[in-house]
Amino acid sequence: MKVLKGRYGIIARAIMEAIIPRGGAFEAGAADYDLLPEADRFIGCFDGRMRKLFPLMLLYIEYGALFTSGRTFTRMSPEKAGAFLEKMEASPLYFKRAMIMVLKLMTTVPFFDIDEVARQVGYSHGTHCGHGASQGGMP
Amino acid sequence: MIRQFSDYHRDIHETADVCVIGSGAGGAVAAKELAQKGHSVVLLEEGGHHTRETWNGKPFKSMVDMFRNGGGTFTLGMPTVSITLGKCIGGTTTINSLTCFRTPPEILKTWRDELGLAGFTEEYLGPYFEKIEKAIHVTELPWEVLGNCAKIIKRGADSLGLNCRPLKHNALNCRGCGTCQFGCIDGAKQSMDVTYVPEAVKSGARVYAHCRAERLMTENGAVTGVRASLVNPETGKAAHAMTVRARTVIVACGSLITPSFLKRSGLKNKNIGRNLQIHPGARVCAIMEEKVEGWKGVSQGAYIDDFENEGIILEGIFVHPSILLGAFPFIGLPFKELAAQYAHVAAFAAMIHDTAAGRVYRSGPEGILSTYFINRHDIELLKKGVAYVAKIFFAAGARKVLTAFRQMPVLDSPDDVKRLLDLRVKPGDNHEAMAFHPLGTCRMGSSPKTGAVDSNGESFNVKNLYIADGSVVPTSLGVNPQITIMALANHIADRVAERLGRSA
Repeated sequence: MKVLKGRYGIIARAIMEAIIPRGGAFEAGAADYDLLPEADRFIGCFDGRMRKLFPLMLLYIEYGALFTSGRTFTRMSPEKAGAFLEKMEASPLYFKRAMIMVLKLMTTVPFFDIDEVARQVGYSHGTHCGHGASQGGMP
Repeated sequence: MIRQFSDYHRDIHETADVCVIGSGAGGAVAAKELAQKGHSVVLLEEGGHHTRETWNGKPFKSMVDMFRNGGGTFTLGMPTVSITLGKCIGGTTTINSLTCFRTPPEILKTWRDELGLAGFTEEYLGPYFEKIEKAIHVTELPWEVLGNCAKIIKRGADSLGLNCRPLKHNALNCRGCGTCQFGCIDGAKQSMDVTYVPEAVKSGARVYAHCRAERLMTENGAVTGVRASLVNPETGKAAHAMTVRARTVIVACGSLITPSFLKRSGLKNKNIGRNLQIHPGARVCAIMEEKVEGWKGVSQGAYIDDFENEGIILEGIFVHPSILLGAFPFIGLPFKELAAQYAHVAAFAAMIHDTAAGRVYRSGPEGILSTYFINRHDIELLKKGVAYVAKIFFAAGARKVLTAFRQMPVLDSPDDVKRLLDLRVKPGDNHEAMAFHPLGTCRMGSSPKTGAVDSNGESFNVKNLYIADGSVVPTSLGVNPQITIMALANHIADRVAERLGRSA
């Protein structure tokens, strides 16, 4: 892991599971897959400044939650964690919304890259042109 | 032959007539033209060489392998605007949406009348456009290949009396697999990596991938070559050094990198890094009653230019769920509720001809530091553009429309469109924006006061140094710029060839 190591990985995993929990409109949730290595590779490509900011952003979420619920983010229930992120997404403060945008992409890019997950939202990769999508994606 | 990191075992020293830095729309064209005229050419590209055998058409692999900063390039400002750039052989042409427009005549008139660039007439550039369009197979694709998003927008536009037309694409035998921005899995896209770069190689150009230009070498006010690093793609660290001695250097790293590279090389001209224009855009997604399956078809199929006189163009944009759903509102189960309707989503975008100007600063070789603040005029245009798309979607039968404006992220009816139009939006704080066309940061001008390069692309400060990428485009175009960049690069390559011919 380049960026999401140690406690940063734990926070990132909790965020991903809050953004896409199990159940609801389709079964799969972020907790069903080990998205962390892929998320780390994705973030590892970011510009050096962004890479350095990323752990700070995770800490902001982890300890920012203390002020609203009295618990760190990773100790919140999934519902409360989701509500906390939702509040950030609707915030009038741009930097909070920007954080959510980045965290959502950190989650959706590796999550929906998995063909069986993509199929749950009706997507089939290239099959209409005769490109068969295998379990892990095409080579 | 295209050399890559696995071919590098020691420092490399090259000598050539011309060293071209960057293999995108500008660099590839310049390299091919000069190599075909018999000049020895070395082409340097920071990214790797990827082909349809190595990419899978999905965002994750493509963003990690072929996008600069994994797609995380952005301008600082309110809001930060993400700008998608390619970092691979073919540059951004390998990962763009294939849309081809010639430079609009009224833009050329502005260049002539207001910037003193008298030579850029339609008559002069016409043959360049024709040649390029032939080389990259610019064509109008049938509606079946343009996909359902395009058909839905056309239906809505027709009912409102607007003119929705197919975009032109650089594609050969395209079947509409829909993976355009993440590596064409059919090999239909005629980007630089499959057209101009192979042609340059055929004519003797030596191409070095994973090679990052560090700075220019100069002597007595003239360029003499380039110092570069051969970069390990796994670590991003320089493993070997490379020097290229050349009589002429053409910099084509793109509008966000060229200015920083020139500044690191010691060039001083107040226009270097200024005048950044990006065509800010905003996505608009509609949840339709019908099944859309928007991925079946090219991702950018059609356009509407009825609002061109206002500075707004509406264009298709549909991408893989990894990216499109990442831009959807909500968290948790409400997000999943919306995501589950992906097959019913149609997407289109509003793009504006911007009047604001940003700036690119000097940064290290690995980073990009730029600022861009959307102004009041432009945000008003963007809001109007989004409202126009929403209106068209509702006319086509949309159930809901999702916007990029915080105060109204979901529109439920045409009445909401009216409310959106009346909404007061301050620049920056209440909306998101994206951009794909950075231009103008080393613009052409008639003198060093107005430009960084002359109308032949030659630097006002250093002799035999040329720039041939989006950074020389003097103003915002209002349309996708790849054809303009290629035409200007071809024009610049011809001027370089004349100079080399004279001094041979």
